[in-house]
Parts: sequence; structure tokens; C-alpha cells
Amino acid sequence: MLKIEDTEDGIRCIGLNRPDKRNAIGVEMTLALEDVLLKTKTDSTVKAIVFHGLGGHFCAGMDMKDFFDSSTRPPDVLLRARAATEHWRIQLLRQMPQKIFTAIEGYCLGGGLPIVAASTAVVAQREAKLGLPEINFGFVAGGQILKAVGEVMSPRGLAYATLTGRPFNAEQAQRWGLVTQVVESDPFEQALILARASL
Amino acid sequence: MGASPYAPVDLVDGVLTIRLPAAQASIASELTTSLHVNAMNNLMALLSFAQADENVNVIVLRDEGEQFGASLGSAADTDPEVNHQFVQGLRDLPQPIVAMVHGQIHDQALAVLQAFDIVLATGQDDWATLSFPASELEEQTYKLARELASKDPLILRFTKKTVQQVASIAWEDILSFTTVQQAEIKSLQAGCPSPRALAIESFLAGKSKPGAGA
Repeated sequence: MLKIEDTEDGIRCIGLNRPDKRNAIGVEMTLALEDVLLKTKTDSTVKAIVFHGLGGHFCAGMDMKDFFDSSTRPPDVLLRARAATEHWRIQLLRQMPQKIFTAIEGYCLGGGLPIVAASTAVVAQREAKLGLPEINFGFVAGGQILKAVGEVMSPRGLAYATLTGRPFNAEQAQRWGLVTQVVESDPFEQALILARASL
Repeated sequence: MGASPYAPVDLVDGVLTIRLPAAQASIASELTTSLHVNAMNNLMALLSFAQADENVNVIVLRDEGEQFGASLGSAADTDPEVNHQFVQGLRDLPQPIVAMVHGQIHDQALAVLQAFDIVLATGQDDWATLSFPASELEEQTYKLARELASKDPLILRFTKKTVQQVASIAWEDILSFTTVQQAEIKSLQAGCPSPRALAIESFLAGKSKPGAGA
């Protein structure tokens, strides 16, 4: 679910690795995210973190099949996964002693945005599509996601994204404060450069 | 809902349009200000009707003059309390409120503009959510307004409320806030077909792509 690689100079690269689901966060991935952040938090050899997605997308949000109305997961598994999700997105991301950098290509939606919001710098490929489409699914985006995103995004951008559910591009995301740099090339390479510069 | 001479309105497909009157510079300034205070009071009365009207899903405010809010500006200069009440009235509206700004904006109206959820404008100013060429502004504004009006009204209102409130809620309380809100929505939807279940079913069946905005 995650591809974790450490560079020699102390950068931990965490790749969301579920390309057939556009890296949607399912039960296994959310448990893995909690686990890697818990371990990284106390690992003094890790100086910076770079999040990225494998397979052409960063993250399509939370996996509808796993977490919502039609979930076939056993209740105890679902309960544990939900607790893990709130743990990493409400607490761990905000407590990490390392600086976080994020590379976005393809989709970056809903449940993937707290990672973006917790980042020191976000590099997005020009064709990337960001968004908060929850309203199109007939529900309100979680307060915990909106609070995280609202800490970096302009209020009017946040209102537009949540009320319309429309995706918006990398340039717009940069204007609204969610993205630091828009690139034509591989955003992961550029995020690594920024992470190295921060060491 | 009756029309006012200073704030013509129309309601089409859940979109309520309120037109601000053009500023009347040719009239003596005291009379202009008086007219504008009346206009603002009329607007406040309209907004209180709109707030309670279940047929109103979205509100669009536009200006018939060359400078958005010029007719409100002189009233605000004269009576800050009226202006404050007006801005608060806009903020308290449960429906999303969209401003369509053609050209310039009156200085005093900038405070009013802060109360809008979405601002579509012809200029690239910081206060604009999105900018369009003048020839496209009206079309884009109503495309967006109709799109908003087509969404589940309950979810639309709760989404607006959440966006407005989250910044003031402490991190340690945010999960409780979300849980309470979800329970409230569930209670209000009790006995009705769940739009959420239908949307997720449609998505999982590959019939819709809500993440792509469709």
C-alpha cells in the first residue's frame, strides 16, 4: 500500500502505492500511513519526508468501497481503520518533527488533502486536479479535512471547492495557497530537491 | 416574495437573483444616501425572507451600476450600524451567496463582499474567487449558481456552515463537531431516500464520476 524509501541524506519518501484505485485510501493504506508516521516521528535519522503517489495520481481520497455506506468490511476492522485515519490526519501529520514535502500529479482529492495541508511545500504537476468532491457524493466534507485545508487555503477558494465539488487545477490551487510550485516535469523530483534544500 | 423598487428580484430554478440599484450620482448627495439606506433596509428585509424560503437554494447578488456596491457604499458611510447588520445578515444566510462583480468595486463595499461565499468578477483582484472576461461573466455566474442549486439543499447548507465554522473550532474538538453534524444530518434525512447512498452506488457502478465534478 505504501512504497517507503529512505535516501542516504535522511529523506524518507512515502509513496501511496495503490495505482489501480488511483491511490484511494482504503483500510490497509490508512493503517500503513498511521504506522509509518508513528515510526518516523521518533526516528532521528529521518530529516524530511516526501509524500508522492505512484501510477500517475497522488490520491483519489478515501476509498468509498471501504469506508462508506456500501462497505463490506467487518465492523471491528472498520472501527480500527477509522481510528487510525483520525490519528494520522488530525494528530500525527501536525506533530511530525520533520518537514513534509508533497508531490502531486493526477488527482488529489478529499481525504488526500490533509497531507497536502500539513506540508511545508507542495509541488504540483500542471495537469494535476485537486478537489473536495464530497458534496457530489451527497455528504459534507469532514470538519477535520476542511479545518486542515482551511489553514492553508484562502477562505473563498475553500468555499468554492466544497460547495461546487468541482475539481480545480494546479495553478488555481497555487493562487488559493494550497500549492507552492507548479511544474511541467516530474513533481517528485522537484519535491526531493526542495526537501534536500531544507536539510 | 414581492419585488422592491430598489432591489428587483427573481427566482428561477432555486436561484434567487437580487439586483442592487445603480448609484444615483445625479441626485443631491443627502437624498442619494437616504435612497441607499432605504435600499439596504429593503435588501435586509428581502434576505430575511430568502433565508426562510425553502425554494431558494442559492442567492446571486449583482449590481446594475458600473461600480459594484456603490449604492451600498454611501449608506455604509452614513450608518455603519446598518452596514454591519447587512454584512451579518449576508453571513447568516444558510444558502450559498454568490456575488457577480462587473468592473470596479466601491471601497465601502469591500467589507460587504467578504460576506459572500463565492465572488465571480471581471478583474483579477484578490477578492475574486474566479475571474472571467466581461462577455462570459453572466453566463459563468448562472452556470455555477444553477449547479449549486441542483445539489442536495440540506447538504449544501451544512457544507456552507461547516466551512464557516471549522476555523474557530479547536483541533481537539473537531472530531466531535463532525460526529454531531453527521448525526444531525442523519436525523434530518430520516425517512427519505439517502442521496449519499444513491450517489455512492452510482459511483461504484461506474455510472458517475463525482470526483471529476460529474
